[in-house]
Order: sequence, then C-alpha cells, then structure tokens
Amino acid sequence: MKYKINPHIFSHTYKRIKPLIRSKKTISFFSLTATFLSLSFFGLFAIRPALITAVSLVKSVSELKEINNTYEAKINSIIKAQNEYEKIRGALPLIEKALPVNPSFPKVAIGLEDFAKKSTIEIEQLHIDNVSISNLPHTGKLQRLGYALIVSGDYESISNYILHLLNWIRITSIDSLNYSSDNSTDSANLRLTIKGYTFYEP
Amino acid sequence: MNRKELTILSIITFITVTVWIILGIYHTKINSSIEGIQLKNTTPLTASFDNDIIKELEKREE
Repeated sequence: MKYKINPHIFSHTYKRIKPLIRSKKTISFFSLTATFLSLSFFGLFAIRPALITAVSLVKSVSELKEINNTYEAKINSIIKAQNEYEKIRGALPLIEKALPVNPSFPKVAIGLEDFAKKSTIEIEQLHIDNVSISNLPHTGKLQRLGYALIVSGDYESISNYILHLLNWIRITSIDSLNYSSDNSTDSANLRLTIKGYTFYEP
Repeated sequence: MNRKELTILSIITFITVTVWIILGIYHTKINSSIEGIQLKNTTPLTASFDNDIIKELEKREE
C-alpha cells in the first residue's frame, strides 16, 4: 500500500507558521526552548552515562592503586611472618602443649597425678568439667576447662605440688585453695581443695 | 500552553536533568567499587611473635 503525501501540506504548514516566524520574540522563545530541551535530551541520554562512566573509572583506578599498595604491604608482611615462623618452628610443640586445640582432659588428669607422685601427696578426689571430645570448629577464642581436686599431704609436699602446678607447661589458673587439717589421722597432714581451670583454643 | 509556559517547562526540565546528572556523579563517587572480599584480604597482618613467651614456656615443666 502506497502512502501518498499531499503536495500542499508543506505550503499549508508554512502559511500557518509564517506569522509566528515573523515575530522576533517568538523566535527567541523557540530557540531558547529548543536549546534547553536538546540539552536536557542529550544530558539524559549521552552526557550523564558518559560522565558517570568516566567518574567511576577514575575512582576505580585510584581505589585499585590503593589496593595494590596494600597488597604489596601485606605480601611483605607475610614474607616477614614466614621468616619469623621458621624461627619459632621448633617451639610449636611447646605452644601446642601450653594451649592445645582441644581440651585434652586425659593429659590434664595425667599431669595432675604426675605432680602428685612427684610431690608425694595423695589425690583423694579429682573432678574435671564436662567437655566435648569431638573436634570443635575453629573459633579463635580461649575456652576454659575447669577442674577441682582434693589432695592430702604435709604442708611442704602440698606447697611443692602447688609450685608444680604453677610451673606446669599447660597453662592453668587457680581459682581457690582451701586448706583444712586432716582429722581422719593423727598425723600433721593437711587436706587441700584446689579449684582451677586450664585453657584450650579450638 | 503558550510559548512562555513552554520555555519555563523546558528550563525546569533542564534543571531537573542537571541535578540528576550531579546526583548520579556524586553517587558514583561515594560508592566504592571494591568488593568486600578484596577489603577482607587487605586487612593488616602482624608479623611478630612474642619470643619472651616461648622462652618462658621452655622453662616450664611438662
């Protein structure tokens, strides 16, 4: 289907706008309006995306430069840390013994018994708090393993036992010490109740 | 709508678009393009160990 343009349409249109064009004021208003509208149109569809892209690229460049510097600093500190780690590699078992990753309560019990044997005192009661024996997820937080024990012996042996405890590689903290005389025998034996806790870090 | 109203409308449109462009640029400037993972990887690392503690541990009994 062919669309035929009326040949008189242009002349009719020209005749209609001719009086308007003659007025200078109208031309000024028209040009002003056309300028603002075209600026708005191009601002919306061309200038805005271009400016935003440019600004975001400039910002990305500066941020990536900053990150690059930070990464370089971190790589240097990792190398330094690796050297330091090599120096203390031999001491790692000591750290593991002082602060194990799991409660290792049998070792706590064995340690307490060994010190009792060394100090020639007798353990009457030993209680260790309930702990999970499965491997715990890494938290990076210190956990406590509480224990309580009643020992009996002479004053010197008990003092010796406490010194052993305080000098134990498994870091332990004593909450309370309670001395009482052992009335069950006629000897000068003392009974000591110790409440304390040791640590582990999963 | 006469010619004066049309001009005022075009001026308002222009001002709106200009403000929009300025706000868009400002928004782009204040928003970081770095992802959280990258920021997490750039946290500082202290590369020092307390050797005194290790010496202290060596003195303790097992």
